[in-house]
Amino acid sequence: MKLDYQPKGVEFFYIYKPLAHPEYNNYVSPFTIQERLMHIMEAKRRLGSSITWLADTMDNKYHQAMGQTPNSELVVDPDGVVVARRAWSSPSELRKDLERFVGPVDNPTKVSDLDLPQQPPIGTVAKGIVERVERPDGSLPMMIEPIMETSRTPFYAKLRAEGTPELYQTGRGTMYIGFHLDPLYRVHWNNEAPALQYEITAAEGVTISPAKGTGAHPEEKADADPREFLLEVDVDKPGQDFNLMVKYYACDDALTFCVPVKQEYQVTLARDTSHDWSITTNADGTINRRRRPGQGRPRPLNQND
Amino acid sequence: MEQGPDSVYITQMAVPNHKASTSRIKAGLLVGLLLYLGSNTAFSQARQPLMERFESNAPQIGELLPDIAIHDDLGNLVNIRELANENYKVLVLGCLT
Repeated sequence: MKLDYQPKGVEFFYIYKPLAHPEYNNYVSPFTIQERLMHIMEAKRRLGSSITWLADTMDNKYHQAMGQTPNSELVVDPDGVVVARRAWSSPSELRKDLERFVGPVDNPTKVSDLDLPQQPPIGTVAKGIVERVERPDGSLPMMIEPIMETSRTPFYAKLRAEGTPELYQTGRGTMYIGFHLDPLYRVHWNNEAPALQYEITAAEGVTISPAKGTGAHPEEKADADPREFLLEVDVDKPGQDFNLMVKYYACDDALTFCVPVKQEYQVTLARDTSHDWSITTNADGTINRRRRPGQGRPRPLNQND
Repeated sequence: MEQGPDSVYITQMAVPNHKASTSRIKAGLLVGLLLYLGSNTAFSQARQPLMERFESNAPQIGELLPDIAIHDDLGNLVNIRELANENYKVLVLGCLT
């Protein structure tokens, strides 16, 4: 589409938003705008598209303005007025819009005409060493806030927390916490150092068990599998907060550093509506689909080139 | 759409402790009702079908782009309305997953 209509003056923009399906291809949600920009660099590398990227702010204002939809599309006229819109991007419908507003093109470009240099996801040290934890059916992302001032390093491993709808509604149920290495930092666990440990501090009325835990510690010197736990939660009212501290050792894949890391999060026992259900990617690249609320499948970025 | 046990919470709040006074029971019911409405509203919003959310939140045809800031790919903040120039534009939300 861009190839056809950019010569006619139409400008195309992708706006990067929160991950719809964390863990798909092992990508985890960025915590800072710098990390969101790293995601954009990775998207450019993977897709090979020349479309201009913009990034939503970290409080996701544009995403919220679009009703927190994953792939919505707007056509805007030279005065900044919306002239077409849809909840799901559609190349065929977009072409009709542009034909109406800008004019048709002779010999429209087809996807098969494109030769975009698409790249596979980032490789990392061996995965599939530590067995994955099976999350309860219907688990959905939970609100977490990294406490940036507690860390002098990037959050190489990022917390993902999920809860069942029952937990969110009643305050009782199973919570998943997982520490996922961010592939964009190209780091792995150093298994010659002490294993990852977490510790939860909660107010009275909030019972989370076990409140402390130690992650897997395989014999292999290095791996990149998440360190995961299932916890039981019982709170006197939903939506309460607790503090989670994690300690681990991270090494970069180029073996230039191995550092101890201690970081903290504030976790709220409430649904994070900016993300949808996670999609676990197995070590062999296949997808592990769990039964989850709602319908639908993940849509990759729509190619409007 | 999945139906959670929304009524269970308020039912539990409504079961009185035989030692509690009437006023405390009423206060508990009121708190329970408020919490139920609050949590249910937030949870319902999360479950609200995608099309409904888009219809009720996204700018309508004929309206201007929202008056909000976004980042360019260098991290600079720019008001999205400043994208307006003499050209038509296509804006698509997306991410790596």
